[in-house]
Amino acid sequence: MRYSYSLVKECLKEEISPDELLRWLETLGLNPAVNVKTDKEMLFEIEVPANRGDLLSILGLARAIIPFASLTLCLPSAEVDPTLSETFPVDIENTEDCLYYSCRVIRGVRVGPSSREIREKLEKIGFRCSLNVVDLSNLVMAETGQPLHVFDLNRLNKRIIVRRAWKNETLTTLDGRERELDEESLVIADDVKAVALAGIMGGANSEVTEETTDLLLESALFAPRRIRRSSKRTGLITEASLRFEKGIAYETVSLGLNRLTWLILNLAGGQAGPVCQAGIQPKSNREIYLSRKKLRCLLGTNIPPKFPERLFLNLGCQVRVEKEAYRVEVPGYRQDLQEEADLIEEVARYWSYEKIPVSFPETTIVPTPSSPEYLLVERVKDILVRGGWTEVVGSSLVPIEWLRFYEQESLRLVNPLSQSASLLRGSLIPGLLEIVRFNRARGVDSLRLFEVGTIYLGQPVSERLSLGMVIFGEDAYFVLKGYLELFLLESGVEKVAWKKTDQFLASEAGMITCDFEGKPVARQFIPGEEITNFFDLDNQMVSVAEIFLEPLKSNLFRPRPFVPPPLFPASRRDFSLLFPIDVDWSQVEKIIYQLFLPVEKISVFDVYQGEKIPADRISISFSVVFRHQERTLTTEEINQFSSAIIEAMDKHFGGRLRQ
Amino acid sequence: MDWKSAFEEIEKIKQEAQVEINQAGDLSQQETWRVKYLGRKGRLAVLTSLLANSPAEIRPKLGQAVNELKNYLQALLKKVSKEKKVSRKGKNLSLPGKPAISGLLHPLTLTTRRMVEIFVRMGFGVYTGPDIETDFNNFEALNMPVDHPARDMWDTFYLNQEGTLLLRTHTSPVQIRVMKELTPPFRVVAVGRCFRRDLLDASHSPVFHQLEGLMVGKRISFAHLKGILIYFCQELFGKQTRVNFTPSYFPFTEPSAEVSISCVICRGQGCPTCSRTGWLEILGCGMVHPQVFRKVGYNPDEFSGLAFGIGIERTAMLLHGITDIRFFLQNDLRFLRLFT
Repeated sequence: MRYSYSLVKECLKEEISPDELLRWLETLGLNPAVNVKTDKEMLFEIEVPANRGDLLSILGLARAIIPFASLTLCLPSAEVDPTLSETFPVDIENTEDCLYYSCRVIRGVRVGPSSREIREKLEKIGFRCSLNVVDLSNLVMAETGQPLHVFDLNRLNKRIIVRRAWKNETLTTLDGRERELDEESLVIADDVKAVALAGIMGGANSEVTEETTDLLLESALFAPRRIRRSSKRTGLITEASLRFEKGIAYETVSLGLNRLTWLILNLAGGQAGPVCQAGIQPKSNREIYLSRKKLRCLLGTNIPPKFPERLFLNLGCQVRVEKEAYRVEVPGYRQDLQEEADLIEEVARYWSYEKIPVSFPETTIVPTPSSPEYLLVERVKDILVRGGWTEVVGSSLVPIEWLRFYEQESLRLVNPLSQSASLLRGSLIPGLLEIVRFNRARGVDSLRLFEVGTIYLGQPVSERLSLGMVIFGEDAYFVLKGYLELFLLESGVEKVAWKKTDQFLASEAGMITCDFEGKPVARQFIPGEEITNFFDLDNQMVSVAEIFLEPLKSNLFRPRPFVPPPLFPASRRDFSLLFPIDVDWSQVEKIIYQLFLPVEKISVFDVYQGEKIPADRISISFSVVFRHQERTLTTEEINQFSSAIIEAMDKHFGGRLRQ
Repeated sequence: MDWKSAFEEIEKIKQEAQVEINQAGDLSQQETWRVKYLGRKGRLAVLTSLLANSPAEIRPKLGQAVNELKNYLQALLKKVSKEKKVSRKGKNLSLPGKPAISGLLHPLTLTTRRMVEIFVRMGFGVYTGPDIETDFNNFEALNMPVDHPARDMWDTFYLNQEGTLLLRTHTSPVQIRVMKELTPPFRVVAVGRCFRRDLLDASHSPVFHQLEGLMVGKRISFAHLKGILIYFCQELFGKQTRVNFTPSYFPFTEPSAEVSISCVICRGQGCPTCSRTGWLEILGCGMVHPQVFRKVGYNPDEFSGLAFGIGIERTAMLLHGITDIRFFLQNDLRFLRLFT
């Protein structure tokens, strides 16, 4: 709703200027936004906090600014002397849904369009006009915050009952839509039918028309929770439902009813009956204890004792000042003030946050640990960036078509915004390939990307920390493998040993995996065509890896042991051997190490396949570094070692020296 | 060698020089080659000295052959050094260096680290929490029981029909986890990913990141909240930044405040970024609500606490002048490379 300066002024005895009004609203943090400003008028909106239903009214707004200049409130005229004795029977099925219900008969009303004055008032604050009695009920809602409803009395059958809707019961609401209801919704019904969706919208079957002369006015106190559920269920949010959801005070119910009666009698004529009611009249005033010490400690400043006292009086509270405390009786319409902290906030707001001093806590130093997950993730990022990799951050919500790229049961959103973001990622790989596709399409021809992030599993529902790496470019697989091994070594995996497996998403070449402390920790593969075609990539140019970080957590921060640099020189021998084309290199290394020679390092420096050698052979050139810890190795020894290696290669793999 | 085998030698030099220059990969190898063939004591020089001692009738013919060889060798060197352009570049120091490739951190990581570092300096520990949360931690324990209207402030993605499992809408549930795990006094920040059912546009993303702060102790006050956050804002955005606290509403803090800083773009003069107000809202904060303390078994009469939450994307956007939140999850390398 919109607020108008002139309507606010009507509620106050003293003059205030529009600028003052704006400044005060800003101080209160209501972020006023001015829509229209002329000499005499200003229309504006405010941000109403979820716990301040009282501010959804002109009266509430006026009450909120009173303390700034000790203003005086003028309540709108609402004195009614019933001239009819006619009553109308009312019943409430359950006072948990509707605490209190009141209504009143008015007969002999002239129903028609509103006067220009009323129409202007309403249009200014954003209401659409219809018939005078309906307009007046809207005006009273704007003034007091009490939602009201006007029935055509002669279309009601015998009585009013406030009850839950029946299963499959339908009601055509005032907007002309037929609503299917269920037991979650509360309705106002007469003896035979529902006539309104309680607290939300009236029914067409009891609507006031130009022919109407006799009315039943409704002013009630519905339970916020029930109206909220009913509103969610029917998908119908109205000015009335918003107010009931946030809570209405009992006093407002009777003020609203009397004010509407007064306006109708004065502007549309008729004779009013007495108030008919049902339910309980909840005690709405609360007493809250506010200790001065607590006020001082929580705000970190000394506020003059008179200030809170005057403030609470100005806010319509009763205040009893004790030696070191205030006992504040809060009026019902301030439902947000529930306990001491709420009163402290109120003092701070009116005192102004600006005036609260700035200081640092004087505190005992108690070391607070950081979570290992955070340290792990940041460490991992540093290791990879140092190696020339670029960090990317992908979304957790991915397209439903990616479902087939996740090996394990995935998690889906119950209420996604769209199919393209309805699944939780079960792996980082598809997201990384999508980023490669995106950048490839923009002319990038070589990429090394990684992401450290959470992946989500459906069975059981869980999440885990994962590192994904993707490389695009020449010799992708081997470049990635080199970095991956380096990463694992830096992460505390003492020896990286690969196992070959056939795996999900991998191309025919399969996948290699590495275990750590008996658990799989990393895997790398060339993605198969199903997934590379999906992301429009050439799979000869791509390789991906996935690393599960959890097992690395303990080792990443373990201090590395010192090993003194070797005292004696190393000797290197190069070998060029022809192996069967599918030789398992990890086996080759294993066999060499099993010769128990003083081998320090084995490294491959050239691989050849092609015309110059038989088609079923692969030429692998590698060097072996020998070093003895206690002496310099002699040439004869090295020659012996080399022969032993050549012999073993021949024996185990049929590996022959390349001529 | 005598002059008789000179013609043979010339042919041999031609062949060998040809082979060797092709193997000379870099400048220093080419230089070795030059010394070997064209140097003062090189093979050409040997032939030239031979020429002086050769019989007169042979001399012109041999002389011509030696000269041809000289031209041949010089042409070889010239050709090769032209081909290996990279090597020649070394001689012109004004030419650009080779493009260097380095790894990059994502701007969200860079911003998070800048933010975290400021709090770590003030003695805060760094925490994380799961993205998948319970309704209890995300709402109920934060003073938003079922059907509380304030729940509308956070449009939520649910993971089950009952609505008991959800994707956290803010990092505030980490407050609940931390309070259950630690004993006051303590101070921590938590960083993490949050989810809201908002349509993606230039300033909203259903997936985003937050930094949450929580300090609980015996006499923590609103003045301390101001102290810590003003320090943070001025460290991050510059000492001249003005910081403003206005009342706000969060169900889990009381009093609650919203913090604005003087616009980093226009220095408070008014510009499109700050909607001509001169101020930018950057974070929500307040004193921990007594109801939240009760939910985790703390006595609100014994302890008080301050809490705050800051959007990391928004902070990064203000720090770098990024105009669209969608850049962060899009990972366009042209974007990422801006922030090294």
